[in-house]
Amino acid sequence: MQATIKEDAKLLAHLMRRAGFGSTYSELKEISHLSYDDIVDSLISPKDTSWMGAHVIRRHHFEHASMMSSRGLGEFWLYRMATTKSPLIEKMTLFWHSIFATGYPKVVHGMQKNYQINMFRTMCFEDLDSILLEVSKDPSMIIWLDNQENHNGAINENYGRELLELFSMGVGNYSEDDIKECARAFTGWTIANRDYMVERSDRDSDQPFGRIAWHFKFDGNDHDFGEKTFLGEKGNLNGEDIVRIICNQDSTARFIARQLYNFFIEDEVPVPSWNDIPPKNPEAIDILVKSYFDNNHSIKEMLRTLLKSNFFKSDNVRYKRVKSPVELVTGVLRITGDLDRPKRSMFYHFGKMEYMGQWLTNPPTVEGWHEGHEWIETGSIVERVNYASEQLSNETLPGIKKVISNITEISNSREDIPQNCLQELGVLDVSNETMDILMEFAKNLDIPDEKIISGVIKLIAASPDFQNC
Amino acid sequence: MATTKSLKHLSYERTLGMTYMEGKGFYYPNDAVVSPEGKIYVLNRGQEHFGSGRGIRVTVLDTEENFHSVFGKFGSGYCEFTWPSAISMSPDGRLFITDEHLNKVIILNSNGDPLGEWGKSGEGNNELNSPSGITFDNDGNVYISDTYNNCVKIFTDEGKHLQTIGKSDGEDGLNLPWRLSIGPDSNIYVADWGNDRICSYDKNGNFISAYGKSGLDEGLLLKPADVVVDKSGNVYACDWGNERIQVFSNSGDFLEMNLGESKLSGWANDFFSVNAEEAQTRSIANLHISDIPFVNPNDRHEISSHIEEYFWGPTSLNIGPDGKLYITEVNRHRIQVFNI
Repeated sequence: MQATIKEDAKLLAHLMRRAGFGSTYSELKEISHLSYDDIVDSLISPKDTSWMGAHVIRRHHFEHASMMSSRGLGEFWLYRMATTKSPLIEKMTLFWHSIFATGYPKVVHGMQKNYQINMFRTMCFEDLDSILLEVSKDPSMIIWLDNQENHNGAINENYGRELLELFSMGVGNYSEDDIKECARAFTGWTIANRDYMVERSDRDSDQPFGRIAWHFKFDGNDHDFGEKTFLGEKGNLNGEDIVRIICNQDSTARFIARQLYNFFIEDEVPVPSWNDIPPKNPEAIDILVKSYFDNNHSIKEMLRTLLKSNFFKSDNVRYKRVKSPVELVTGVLRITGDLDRPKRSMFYHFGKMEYMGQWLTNPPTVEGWHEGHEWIETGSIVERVNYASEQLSNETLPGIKKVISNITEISNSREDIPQNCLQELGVLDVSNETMDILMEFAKNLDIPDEKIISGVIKLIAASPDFQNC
Repeated sequence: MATTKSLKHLSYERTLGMTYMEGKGFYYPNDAVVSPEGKIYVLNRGQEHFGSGRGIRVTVLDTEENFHSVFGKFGSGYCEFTWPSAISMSPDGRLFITDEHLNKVIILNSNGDPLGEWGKSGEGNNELNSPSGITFDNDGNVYISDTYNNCVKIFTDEGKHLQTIGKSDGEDGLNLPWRLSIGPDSNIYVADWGNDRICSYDKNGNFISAYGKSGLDEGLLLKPADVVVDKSGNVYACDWGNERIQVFSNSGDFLEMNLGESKLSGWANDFFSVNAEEAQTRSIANLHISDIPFVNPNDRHEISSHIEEYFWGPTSLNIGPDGKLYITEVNRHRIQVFNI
């Protein structure tokens, strides 16, 4: 019987591509008895947060157990993204990782970066005040932006500057004096055993017995307790006060709203241009800003507003985001089911993601990755197309076996196969041009049906349409 | 406090080894075997960047921490290993190494020269699916934890299947077993990793008993990795998920546990003697902080990542010819030696 794709299935598929990493038709059917709003609520507050699990991964990947180097933690996270039952949590963890971008080469401590990622995961839906406070105390961030060198009487502005410019308000909404006062407020926010830990990082030393995890320390002897003036507020301000003042700013609400819009709805220009180029949808930003202030700066409620909004559901924004390499690879892995247990193919998947331009857990600069069409360039597009088409047409992988079996069962003729493939892969839409190519392939080749299905899937994965979500 | 009961069964003596990617040192040492002559053969998984095998090797030292040699080669060819998972020595002195990716057993002499290999992937009697533990009985038969086939298989040293143990949905059934050993009573003791318990079988493969229940408290187990039994019949469980060693009586009563007490090894002292800056900054560091604000105070993995003296990733136990307990820690790249 020819299966039909309902419009609400397309909306649901859109939701799962953006609030997760995509869902197959079988997975969509499992939640289709719920209303759209209930599905959004269940994504934000999932009852089932299970995934492959840390123990079994650590048993086989020892680098994932102690994370001495740069890739183990990213691979560990990829396992989680590819197998989690609560994908929005991982998507939000990725969102914060992209904003509070902390690179490996200066931290030189995989486990410590893993703890930062865990913090993003735990805090991902909290109020912005709590998140910024934890970020300010995070040992990886302290080392990344040199706050251990921010002393009473000899400030280092690095963290204070980035907190305002890239983490909360954006250029044009504060002064150079505000940066200096901000830095004064964060003096003494350091890590325990600073000299030994920094020495080890500087030397990339894992002797004698591997890395030792860091923890935050407030050094009152090195804190500037003097009066400060920050964004018009005067007093004996400390780091907590700075975060409170920042989070009460309209510019902060607009900055976070635009970040959410960029990540979940459609690609914006990179952050450094935001002071010059207005948002694509100012009304949407206003709605999200209102949600921010109406709900005590709650990210969870901003996200709920966003995902239930008409501007999110609109046909006009579907397939308007270029998948990041993480989204592309994770989406493919969730279909193929290759990571059904820890295995060495992880190195291949993770390496491919890197070749596509995104080294998960090691963003290139404090700006994070530039999203959108910057993911697509001559080298990366070849990697993206080859990876997706190779993996999704691999008939030995458990998820692909299931997809092919389902398509075989519902297809009455060769003409059915293209549409059924698009359905099974997640109720996908493609252009008329792509559809014509799929149909021509399906109708005119004299090979077994299974090979036709596999071939159509490969063509879908190689199509321009598959690069977006 | 590292130990909660009197040091009746476990008394820290010293630490062997240290982290080194190549050569003299360990890099993710996940198993070891101590020969009757007191040589320690340490199996190192090495680095896994892009699936490379840098640092993969067997490091040979003795119980006095004298370095002897390294050998072994990464790869999938003859007598090469990719994911070396366990090492043991046959009664005639040959080294047998399992590979949980290649699903084979590699045989080397004590100098590391290749002698042969056997095993293939699958579910059948003569096949393996991620072998992760290996030991011998006095007759030279090989016992292998066949992890994803959820059983222990007994082979001749030439790879002929003799018997399968623990393949059952009942009480005697194993779930992702890790390491195993033969006790002085000739019984077979298995770290039943997936069921959070230690199982014992007689030499004919009949189920005897299971110790332990899932949990974090004393006497409970979380994903045990290894088990050995001393001459008195006391059972030492490598409680990997709880980052500790626990001692049980042969009837399964909890006796003692230890979280690790490592001090610097001889090799580590040598390292600091020529790395003065690190030695100086280490000397003013407090590495024994107890008031760390852990994200999850019940997560022993997180705690051990912060406190260097604690066990972190204990995956292998051996009772040496000197009667001491050698505990290999994969995440700390060392061996803690305890008097028992």
